Amino acid sequence: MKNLVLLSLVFALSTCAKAPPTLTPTGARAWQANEAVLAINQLQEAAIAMNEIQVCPPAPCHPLLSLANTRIVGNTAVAARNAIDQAPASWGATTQTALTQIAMQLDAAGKQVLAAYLTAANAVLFSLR
Amino acid sequence: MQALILAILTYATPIITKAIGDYRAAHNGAMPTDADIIGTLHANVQAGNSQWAAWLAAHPTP
Repeated sequence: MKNLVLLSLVFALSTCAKAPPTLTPTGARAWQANEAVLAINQLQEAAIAMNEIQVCPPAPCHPLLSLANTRIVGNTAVAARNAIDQAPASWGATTQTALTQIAMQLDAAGKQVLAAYLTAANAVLFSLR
Repeated sequence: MQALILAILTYATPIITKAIGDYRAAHNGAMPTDADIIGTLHANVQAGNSQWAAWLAAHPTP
């Protein structure tokens, strides 16, 4: 198990994303910004999907991710996407701020449900730098 | 720790490698230009915002 963890870490860290060599510095920044937007979109999709999943027990049946938590993710995602679209060079700070805001605003249940997805989004962000 | 590794392997890596692969597949192996990437960025922003707008419309605030 320990070897599997080590192998996984080596694999993950070795897949740092690089922009295509055909791009100018401006294009490379736009590429990074696009990857960040894709990660934000994936987080939003996950939140929407988990809001659609009904859990019961305990009764009454309720969404796996609450409406309130889903709105936190989606509204923050919109703001981040628009900011990145206006200023692609800000992709790093904007995405990091958005992910931090989401993590801070989620309630305990939301944090638990979205923990892995937030971790993965942060991992994508890290790999882009 | 296991959840972190699983999240990275199953979520982050495919996202990172998919964009270039999709572009190359759609353009016979060519690499994207600045204009291509900037257009893709705008399209993905719009796609995400549209998806959220649709969700909000389906889940109005009481």
